[in-house]
Amino acid sequence: MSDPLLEVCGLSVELSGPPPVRPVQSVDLVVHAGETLCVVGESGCGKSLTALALMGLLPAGMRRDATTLRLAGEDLLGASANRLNDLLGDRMAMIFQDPMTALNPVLTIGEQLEEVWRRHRPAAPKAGRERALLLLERVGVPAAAARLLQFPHQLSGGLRQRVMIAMALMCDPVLLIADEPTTALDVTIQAQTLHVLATLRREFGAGMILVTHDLGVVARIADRVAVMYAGQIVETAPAAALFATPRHPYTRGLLGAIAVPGRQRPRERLSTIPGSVPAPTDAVRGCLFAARCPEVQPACTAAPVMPRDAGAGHFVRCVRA
Amino acid sequence: MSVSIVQSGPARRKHRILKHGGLIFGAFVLGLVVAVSLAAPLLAPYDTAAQDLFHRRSPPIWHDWLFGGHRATWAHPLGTDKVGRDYLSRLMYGGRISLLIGLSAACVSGVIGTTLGLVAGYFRGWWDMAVNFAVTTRLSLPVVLVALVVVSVYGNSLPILVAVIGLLAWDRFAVVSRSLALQASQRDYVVAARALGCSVPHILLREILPNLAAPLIVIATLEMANAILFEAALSFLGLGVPPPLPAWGLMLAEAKEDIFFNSWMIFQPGLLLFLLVLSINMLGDGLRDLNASARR
Repeated sequence: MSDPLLEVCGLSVELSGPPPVRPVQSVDLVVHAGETLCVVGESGCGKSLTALALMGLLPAGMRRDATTLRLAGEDLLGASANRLNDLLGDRMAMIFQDPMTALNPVLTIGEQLEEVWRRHRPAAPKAGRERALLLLERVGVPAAAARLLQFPHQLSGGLRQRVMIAMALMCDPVLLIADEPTTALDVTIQAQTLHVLATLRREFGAGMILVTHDLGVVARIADRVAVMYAGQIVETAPAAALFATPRHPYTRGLLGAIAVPGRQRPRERLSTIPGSVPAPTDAVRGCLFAARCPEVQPACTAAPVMPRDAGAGHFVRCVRA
Repeated sequence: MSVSIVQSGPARRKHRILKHGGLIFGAFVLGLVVAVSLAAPLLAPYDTAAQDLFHRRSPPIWHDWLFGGHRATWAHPLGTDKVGRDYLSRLMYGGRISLLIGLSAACVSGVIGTTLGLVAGYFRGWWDMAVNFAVTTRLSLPVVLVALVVVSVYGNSLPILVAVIGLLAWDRFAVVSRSLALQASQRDYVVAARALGCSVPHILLREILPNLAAPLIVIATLEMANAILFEAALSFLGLGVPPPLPAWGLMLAEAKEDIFFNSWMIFQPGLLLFLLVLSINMLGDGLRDLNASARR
């Protein structure tokens, strides 16, 4: 396979303060050009922080640590702050979770879209307006020319999310990072937005990391899936393989907890995973899932578990794999 | 494909503006003062320093109407001062000085205070502590005394007055813009702007500052009113606008020995000062109400 578009090795996020806490621990990710990688996991497992860490946008008090971080062959760890700022919005762009708050309420849609262009393409400032108009039409915003002059509060949530997508695509990035782009939307709008996102990603040929907790979204859009648990990636696999043969007990538990109409008997409870996620402050020696795992063995708690290659692009952080 | 877009926002806003009596009154009076001041060279019948020594302390026309007598002359409809200078002309030009000082002082303090507040609210940490220290230091200075000292050392000219008032009145701008910038910098759209590679000055000036505009404009009006009053107070103490400039505060000071026998001399500039400050405050209050209802 060709060189990966994004290569991440040993990405950790550390929250300073006594005691230092690591909500994301040694995450390895690879995204190829034109590929959609879904990062799934429950709330608080570190998926959003991973996305922010990739962009270098961690909140104050958090520190990023990684051994490798390369975008299209360019080392981002050694890059200057100016170079990183140039890359953001141009080569890699982010779509945020809540379209109601991620647009500036006092600037028009057109101003906000054109601003991205002016920031990264100062040589051709005039072309920004056409590009904004074109993209608004492509993401399916009706009456695009009139929308350019409107303020965010005049648009519905679904339209705003489309504007956010258009904004991320302004400079034709090679990597899109979407942090739960459909969570704040109605189910019907979710489907439309996902469709727009998938279509455009294909057209623009960008790689995409989609952070979500919705396995339905994963099934629709993912080429590969990374399952996160308590700040670690516990399983990475091509989407079809992950749904067909989940190897990690946590993934199996997640898939088993999905309600499928017709599969349950009446009044049967959905299956759940017993116990709860260890707090990031807990010192867990071995596998983080061991305390809740139905198939726990002595080896699980003896030493930290490393990801193992299970063949065919399937990596599992489990001693039994 | 034709989609009609409802443009109800501006129409509703217009309605709210027209319903707000204080706002209308303030805007009208202030507009009148501004118009007359700007047109003073065209409207004023005399030079502000021209003396009509045959008509000294000539009372205004309305004084004769109210209290009888035939001392007033149509040559000086609002009377003359003790050296025979035309009150109407001086009052017209006086509005210029009040507005000029109010506006420039509010600009100076607005720029200083907003800059400090933005930096403190966005960067937090040490910057915040430094700005808070500056604000508390500023608040503990006795404004009038400092102004008196500065003016008596550096002399009284318009630029010095503006600088003194501006440098002593930025605290409210700083406090308000700090707290608003603190809130705004946590918003998603600021993170989104960073995610698009925007520089810090760009985020401060283009993303955050416009969100602060409405409350800052309200403060600017109130600070402008304060500056005008402060200038009048300094002028009254003889440390403000240098004579023979026709400032309203100075006219009050020059008329103080006439307060018992020619009270109209002190009454007219006083009334104008009162109306101007009242109208600016009412305009500010109105803008604040409008802003609050726009947010609901």
